[in-house]
Amino acid sequence: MNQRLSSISRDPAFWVILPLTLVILPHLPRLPLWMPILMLLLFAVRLGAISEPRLILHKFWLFVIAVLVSIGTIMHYGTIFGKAAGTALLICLLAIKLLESRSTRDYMLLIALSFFIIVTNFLFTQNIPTAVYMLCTVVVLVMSLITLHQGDAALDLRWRLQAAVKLVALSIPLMLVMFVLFPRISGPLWHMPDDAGSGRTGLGETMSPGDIAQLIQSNEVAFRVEFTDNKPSQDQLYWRALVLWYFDGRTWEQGKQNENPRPTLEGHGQPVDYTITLEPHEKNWLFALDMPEQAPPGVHYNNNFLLRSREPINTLYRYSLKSFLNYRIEYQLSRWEKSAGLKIPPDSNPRSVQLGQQWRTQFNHDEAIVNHALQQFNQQDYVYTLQPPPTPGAHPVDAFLFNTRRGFCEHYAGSFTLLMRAAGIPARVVLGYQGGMINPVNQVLSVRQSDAHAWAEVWLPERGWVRVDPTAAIAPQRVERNLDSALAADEIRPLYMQLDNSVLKHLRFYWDAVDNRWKQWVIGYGPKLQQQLMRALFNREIHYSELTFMLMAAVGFVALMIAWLSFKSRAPKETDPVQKLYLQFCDRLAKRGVARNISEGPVDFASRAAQLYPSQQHAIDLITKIYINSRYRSRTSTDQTEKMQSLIRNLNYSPDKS
Amino acid sequence: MTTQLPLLPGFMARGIERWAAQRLPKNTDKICLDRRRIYILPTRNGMIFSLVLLVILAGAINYQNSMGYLLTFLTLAIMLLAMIATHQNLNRLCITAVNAQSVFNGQAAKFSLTLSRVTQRDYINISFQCPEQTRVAAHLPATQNNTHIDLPVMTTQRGYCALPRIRVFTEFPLGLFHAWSWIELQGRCLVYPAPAEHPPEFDRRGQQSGKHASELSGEDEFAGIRTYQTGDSPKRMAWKSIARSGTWQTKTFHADSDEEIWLSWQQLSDTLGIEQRLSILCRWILDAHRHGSKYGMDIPGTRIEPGIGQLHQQQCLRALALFGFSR
Amino acid sequence: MNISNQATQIRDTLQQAGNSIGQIILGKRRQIDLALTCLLAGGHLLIEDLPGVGKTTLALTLARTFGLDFRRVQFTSDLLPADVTGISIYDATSQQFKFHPGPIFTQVLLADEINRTTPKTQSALLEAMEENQVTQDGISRALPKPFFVVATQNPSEQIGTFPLPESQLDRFLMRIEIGYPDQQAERELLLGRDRRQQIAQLPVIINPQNLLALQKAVEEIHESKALLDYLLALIRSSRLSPWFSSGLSPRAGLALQKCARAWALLHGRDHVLPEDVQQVMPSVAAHRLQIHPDHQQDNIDELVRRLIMQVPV
Repeated sequence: MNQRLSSISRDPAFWVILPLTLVILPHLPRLPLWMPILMLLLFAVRLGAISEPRLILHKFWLFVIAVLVSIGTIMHYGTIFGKAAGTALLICLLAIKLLESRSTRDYMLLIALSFFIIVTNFLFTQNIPTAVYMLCTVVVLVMSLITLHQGDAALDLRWRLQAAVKLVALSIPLMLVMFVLFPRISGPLWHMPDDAGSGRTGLGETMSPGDIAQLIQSNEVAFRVEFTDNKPSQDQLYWRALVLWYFDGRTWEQGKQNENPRPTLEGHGQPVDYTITLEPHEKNWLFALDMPEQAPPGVHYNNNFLLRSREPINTLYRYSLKSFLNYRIEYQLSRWEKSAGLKIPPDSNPRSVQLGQQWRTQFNHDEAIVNHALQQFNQQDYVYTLQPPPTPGAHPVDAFLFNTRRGFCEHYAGSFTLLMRAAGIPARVVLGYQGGMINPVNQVLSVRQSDAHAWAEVWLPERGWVRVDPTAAIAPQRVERNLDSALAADEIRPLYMQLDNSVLKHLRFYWDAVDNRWKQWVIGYGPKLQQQLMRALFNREIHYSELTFMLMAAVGFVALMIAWLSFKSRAPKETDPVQKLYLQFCDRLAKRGVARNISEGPVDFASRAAQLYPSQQHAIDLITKIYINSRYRSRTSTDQTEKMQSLIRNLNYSPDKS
Repeated sequence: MTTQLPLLPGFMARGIERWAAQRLPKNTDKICLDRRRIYILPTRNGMIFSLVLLVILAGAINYQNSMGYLLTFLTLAIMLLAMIATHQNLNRLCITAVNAQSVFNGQAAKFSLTLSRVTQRDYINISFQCPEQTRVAAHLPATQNNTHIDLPVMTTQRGYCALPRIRVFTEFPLGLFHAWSWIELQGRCLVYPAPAEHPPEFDRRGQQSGKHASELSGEDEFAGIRTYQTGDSPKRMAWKSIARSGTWQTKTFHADSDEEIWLSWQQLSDTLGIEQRLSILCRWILDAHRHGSKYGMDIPGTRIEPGIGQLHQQQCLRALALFGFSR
Repeated sequence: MNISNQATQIRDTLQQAGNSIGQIILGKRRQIDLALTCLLAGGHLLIEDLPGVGKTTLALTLARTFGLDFRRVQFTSDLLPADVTGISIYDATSQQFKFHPGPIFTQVLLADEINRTTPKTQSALLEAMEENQVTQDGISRALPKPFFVVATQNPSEQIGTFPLPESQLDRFLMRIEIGYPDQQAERELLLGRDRRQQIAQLPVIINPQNLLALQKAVEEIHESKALLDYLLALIRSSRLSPWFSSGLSPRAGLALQKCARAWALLHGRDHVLPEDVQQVMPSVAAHRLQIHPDHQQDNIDELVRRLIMQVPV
């Protein structure tokens, strides 16, 4: 069995199957379940065919399988174009091609296409582990190439691995040079069909009960923030992204937007200066601390004080902002806002609406109503929990407010907004993130999906739109510190929170810092950063043609350096120190006219050398003696070696022609 | 298999070869390849890789995908270094040609090539090929100082067969580049005439002894007694000696070395061509040698006195091989 | 016996023996050393030269210096194997066959002009040399120890000879040529007294027991890995060289090793140097190599020397 395995591992086909498997592996979780199973089957058949050639399938059957797979892909994705469907189909076809591959030519084609499969994975993920994995895969691919071209040399595994690692390691400096200097251009060359359901986690455009609680389960970073000066206090970190006006009784939506001009913002105090590095989320909204002073260039700043980019954010996006933490939006409520901000869906949640209307009669002041509502949440037995009981039926807000009384931020924000509207106060729901964690390693604040939050804004006559966070009334720790501290001790927390002991946390901070660098400098390296870097290096704008020239020159230079360093011809290595010394001795004498013939023994040489340098005869004889002792009598000692060294150093080469 | 280069149309390849051939050193039995006569081009697979790389680069630009860029450049760098490595896999490799053992016409002359090094590198999967001949691969790992290969060259006529121009090439390590060089080394192989398959019966008239060749197989004169070995004929048992000593013994005989046969040109009909006659003589020599006969050879211009043994046979065959050539 | 301590002493004794022989064979110190080496290595010596250059004298002197029995057989074309090895004759009185040992039962046998006799007789001698015993009528009789054959041979170009086949030349550990003496030596030769008489007066310097001990001592000479590599390189290059039809056999390799050891001992060392190998190699290798037909015109000794020059130490 073992022998059989080893014979399989020597077969070239094995060295195609192995890298192909490695290349496909990261794609598997994204594929419909039948595809991995099919591929496993195909690979197993091909592997078996190494020792059992009958298993090689006829071309016709492969064609049938290929057609079936294409149909299956269309059925699952609805198309064969687009990132996900295209990649899936390509992988399947490659696996099918493998089945009929038997020649080096086929294998080479598969290996070339493997590189293409690797790159398709980067459309979905570009983090450090992916990069490390890519490097390993490339090493295996290089090993495969070596294996396919070794002929009958039967190089052992270690040799091939070392050669591949060496080749890849030497390629890295060249890769970096090209990466930095290759002229980058912005914008896509062509538009690829977008995948609607590419399935990134992140805020949705609507809010129903349970949506955010689900998002909290993910610990992915949404964006990172670097503050130029000090970080504002935690409870002021409200990152707004969406404003929801419309309510249908269960779900909050943005609804139709209006074209009113953006009201003026009156900021107080020193604005906060910060830069956000936004992870691609494939939506066009940008996050900003309440309230941004103005939009970064090329970004629309709408009348809800939201930032909107023109294109969906598909790559890492970096922008700087200034925000006023103390502000006043001074204006009259527009007619549109007034009607939308007071709109209550008819025939839903009657008890809640009734409660709101009752408060209106009870208090004569809007602010008093707001405070009363918050007090109610705070004093009655409302519970802040990640696992709220479901509230089905036509009146979810009623069910929450009067029966279950257990909810997450979206429950509180939604019901609060509804109550305010019923009480005649214009109100809206704001979606975004709250808080974030400062990484002590690099002082960067990372905001994760678990920081997703919903709060409300109400319009008060004297103050304009004012942020009100009902969650803060129930669980103040949520906004002052974090989610973990706000949850009850017996609450079941997401996995990442459970694992968050101090050591891990520390490691995670480091990892996060590294990851941030990676995101900023590698993934985010584009035309902007390139120009910035060039300006820093050369103190002027660098044109593309100059960049191309520099690229060529640098690649040529580095390649030559590498060629010279790694492949420069070395004389056969000599490990024996005495032999090395002796050769040195011969070298020195050769420079002074007594060159040792390659076939000359040490005694013959010594006598010949002594003829030319009679005064040095003693030293020459001694050196020769030590050398012979070591090389032909197998007797070496360190002090003899040292003695030989000093003798050679002290040889007097002036020929005494007597 | 031809010696045509990858990716080059035939006329271009021939042009390069003509040009390169002028630059080859002549009359040498040792060549160390160096960068002045190593040529390198991408292989078909190298082109496919470049194409895939181009597609990946386009994708990376389009999606602004940094890791796509990284992979493109990593692969490009690997290709670049593979080119250097392929070149280095020939560079400073020394090849020495040693003459081939004599063969009969129609057999492959096996020229022995010795590969040695000036460096401490591994030389892996290096192919040697003469035009229209089979390819031979060789490896010279760093642990070895030299290695030997037999390069077969089909012979088509008797006489001296010179070692043709050899194309040395390699695609190791990655198969993306094809590095090659031509070498011309001194080396020759003596090609004997092909032994005739159905020679006429050897004519014994006019010979000093009328004995048939097969009878000359060493059964003549009593030479001594030795210990019995399995397979000895019962006819040869030394019965007297066995009776005396009690151990099995066998008598040995020596061929009468005075018996001589002459293989001469004149014995063959004039209707036969020169080559046919040489072939027949060649066959006769081989037969006579096998039977242990003492034979001499007489062909126009050369007369070899009767003799036996390997050297004698070689001398006769050599005379046949070089018949009509002025050396 | 510890070689390292005694090496110098052994050298002195052997040098003394060499000097003693050198008084008779004038100006041929190198040949004497080679002959001594051959004796120490326990092999047989083939001297190839013209008549009258002192082949017989060398053999005789060697025997005398080591106190060994000496016999001489003049090989002629009518010599029979039994004339060398001995013969069983029916003894009427005892009514039995009685073995009469031939001249081969001695310690030093001078086989003079071995190429004048028939191959049959030659092979009888060579078989005895190889096996150190004579088998006659199914009875093996061991030859005395030490047993040392010095065969002489006229250069094969001469008429009426049966050159030894290659396979049998291999039985001789060494082949040397003596050559004409130089002017100085020749003058002394002419001035000197009768050689034979002088030989009889030579002292015995090493007795046979000591010789056996010395032969054992040769086995203990040390060879380093580097030296073995060099030895192997020499053998390999002989096989690769275009000058020879075939290279040195493994047996030749062993012979070379043994001779190099003996040469080292002769020069008072407990270890072999590349120089030792180089010194003995022409004598050990030349008669085992076949010159390639394309290099017929070259001298074999010269080719061996060139081979040595090519192989790096």
